[in-house]
Amino acid sequence: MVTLVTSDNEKFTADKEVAERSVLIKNMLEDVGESDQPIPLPNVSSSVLKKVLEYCEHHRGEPLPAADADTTQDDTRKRTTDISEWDQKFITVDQEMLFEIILAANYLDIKSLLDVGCKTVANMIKGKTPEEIRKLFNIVNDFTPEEEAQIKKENEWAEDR
Amino acid sequence: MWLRIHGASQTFYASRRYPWSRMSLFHFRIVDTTAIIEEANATSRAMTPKLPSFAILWKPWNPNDLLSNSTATRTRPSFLQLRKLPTELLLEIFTLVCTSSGSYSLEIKRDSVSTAALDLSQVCSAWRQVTRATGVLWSNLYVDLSWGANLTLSEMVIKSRL
Repeated sequence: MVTLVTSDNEKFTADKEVAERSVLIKNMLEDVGESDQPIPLPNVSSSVLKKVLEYCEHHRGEPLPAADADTTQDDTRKRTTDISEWDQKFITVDQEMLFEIILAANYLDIKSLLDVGCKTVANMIKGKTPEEIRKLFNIVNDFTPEEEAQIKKENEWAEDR
Repeated sequence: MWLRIHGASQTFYASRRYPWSRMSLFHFRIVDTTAIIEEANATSRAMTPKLPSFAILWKPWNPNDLLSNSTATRTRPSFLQLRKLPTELLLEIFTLVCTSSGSYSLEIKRDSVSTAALDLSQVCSAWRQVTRATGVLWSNLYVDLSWGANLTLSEMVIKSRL
């Protein structure tokens, strides 16, 4: 078993196999060797780690992506944004938690979870107008008048002629 | 650059979330799309080596603003979550929006036109800087001409490769 300590000082225990789905934790365990010392995760809160461990537990035993997995442009072009049914239910959380999970997956180096998070955000964006995207993520329109004029010009081609 | 041609036609009807528009495909392809891509490529070449960290692209804001009642500040809390994402993750998401299977930077069909890359660049100034500095987001084009009879455009595309 591995003990993990979150930013809010809560301790979690997890099977080594589950915790090691995080490349960061895996490397730390390899560096430390056999030890009962808890692993501090100062960038992850307890509520987020709970979700991350739920994901890792569900996907335990599945093959991990190769460390040097190539992401050439051609590979990227063929990627899909499909998400499995379980992962979709798992990632159905509020926006704050969604972005916290993405950041935690990035920090902990859990590529498959990072993919699920990024795909979820991408699917939220797809097919939306700039205004709809701003509304979805509460983004402020901060364009200068010059940029607004440029954007208007960019959109002229789609207007009625 | 990826340009997918299905059949060909000279003129088509398209809409970009506006009422029906009638456009010359020649004009659309040769003038507008090319101009957008050339501009994106030029910007990409100029900016990629010095693409700034996404964190500094956002305008600083004062947490005390939350105490005010303006629309902008009321929307800030969720916005904060998004701005935490490092540039590489934002670009990963943008890349999925524009280039994943079935998604395109620009998609032209008989009934509609979708402009994913352009839409991303028109959300806010930070997204605009990031998208305009990343050529791959503008390079995945889909043109469906399967419903037409005129072969002029596809002939032009074929000739352009000679």
